[in-house]
Amino acid sequence: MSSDRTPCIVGIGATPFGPLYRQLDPRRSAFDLAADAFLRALDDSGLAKREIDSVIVGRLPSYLKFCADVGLRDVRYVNFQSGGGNQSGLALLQAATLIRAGQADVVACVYGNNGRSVRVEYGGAPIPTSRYDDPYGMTSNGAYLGMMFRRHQYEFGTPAEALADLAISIRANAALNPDAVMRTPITREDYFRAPYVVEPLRLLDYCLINDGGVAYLVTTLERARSLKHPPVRVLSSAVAGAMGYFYGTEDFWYHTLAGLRARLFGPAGVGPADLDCAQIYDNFTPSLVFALEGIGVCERGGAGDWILAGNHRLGGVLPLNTSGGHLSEGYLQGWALTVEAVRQLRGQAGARQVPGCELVLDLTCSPICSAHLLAR
Amino acid sequence: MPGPLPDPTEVDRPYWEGARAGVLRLQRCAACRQLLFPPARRCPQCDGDALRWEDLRGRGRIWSWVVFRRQYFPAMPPPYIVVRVRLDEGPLVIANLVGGEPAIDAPVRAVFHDTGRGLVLPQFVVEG
Ligand SMILES: [Zn+2]
Repeated sequence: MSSDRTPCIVGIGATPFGPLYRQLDPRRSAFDLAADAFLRALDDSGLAKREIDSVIVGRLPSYLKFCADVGLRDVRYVNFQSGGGNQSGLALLQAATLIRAGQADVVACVYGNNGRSVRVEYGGAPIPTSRYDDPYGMTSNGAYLGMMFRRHQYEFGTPAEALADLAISIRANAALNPDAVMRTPITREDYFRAPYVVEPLRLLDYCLINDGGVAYLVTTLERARSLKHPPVRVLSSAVAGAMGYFYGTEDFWYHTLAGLRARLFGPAGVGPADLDCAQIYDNFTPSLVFALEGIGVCERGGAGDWILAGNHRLGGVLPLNTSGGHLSEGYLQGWALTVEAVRQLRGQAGARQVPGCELVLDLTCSPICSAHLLAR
Repeated sequence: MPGPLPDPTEVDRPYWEGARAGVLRLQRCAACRQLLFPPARRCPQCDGDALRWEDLRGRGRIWSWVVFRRQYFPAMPPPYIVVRVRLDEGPLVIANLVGGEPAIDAPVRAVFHDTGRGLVLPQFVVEG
């Protein structure tokens, strides 16, 4: 196996999100944040910068400037993502595919966002029906997810307490993460006392808006074997999208996600019961309810009971968003969830470490569904 | 006060003219009989371009609903109710609920609100 091209994540880097959140700076550039994360990832990997032959850039306004800023002047492959949360999983799929195909030997995946400092408004982005929605004041993915969640409650009896318990456990995880933005533990009382934003969703169902940079490096298992940390392998990846005029589907993405299970778990020869933890895109709490059912962690319609039983907590059956996720660690549009998966597999997650963590699900559904199995 | 209003285009002008006449009007594909929302130049299902505007009953049931409690548009102070309605003829549409208590599966009918700014907006009220 001397030429094993199994893709591995070998370097991770993230700016500390908490301090950046507490210190707004309109001059802070997304490029600087991304470069900071990139240099951390490079140092973490033990690779030399000249070994990086490909770059995937998320959200930054110019991939040219980023590459020039960090001195990556000759590349075999470069690509740019506009940065929405539907794309983070696609960056990892792209990198892994390039590595497997021999189109790249080391891919740097880099993301930077100074949205809080420059007061970017999320949620106003046009969708195909915006011209018919806006007159009614209907806007934002949170509103669409709120609508889906109320329907889910009607069809399956899912209680609002399930959303509360997600927000509470994810905050509890963030309390164990020194870099997280929101670290003060919350209770059900806090959850239900917080105001509605778009009813049935309350303030604590919504992700944060914060500044930060995230980067990771992907290379072959062959190269990974002689680097600083044990390699984290990308065992399998699968993507599926339900394309339509609205954000969301009438079946809560159930069939979209169920349809990619075989492609995700099959090649790795494992199932949802084998996962040690999961990092799932939590732009809003209902996304987690829908993802858990769709990917087969619990039965369809069973997420409410599954969550109320505490299965999603640290120490439970499948700890969820161990870093604090988008709700409490920081909203880096999926990128920081991948980095947390690597930390868990390396045993570097400190007080929030899942003991003996060997297999992690990294899943996004917003609305493109992308899933990766990462393993030690 | 409504949120931002669109300028009718060549594609959806009959939709807005229908609203002004007090009727919900959508295109039906002559080839596959699919009813389209939003208005289009071509049927997404069969690629047919023979689309005929058809008057609907203006009735349906609430698929789900939300209440905006935060202000997103300057002209629309909260709270206001947005419903997603499954029309009897099939399509799902978004609008405000302006009468009756919202509930999933509650029967609704379209009413028409003149914004005074050039467009008449379809809205819904709970029936009965
Ligand atoms: Zn057709």
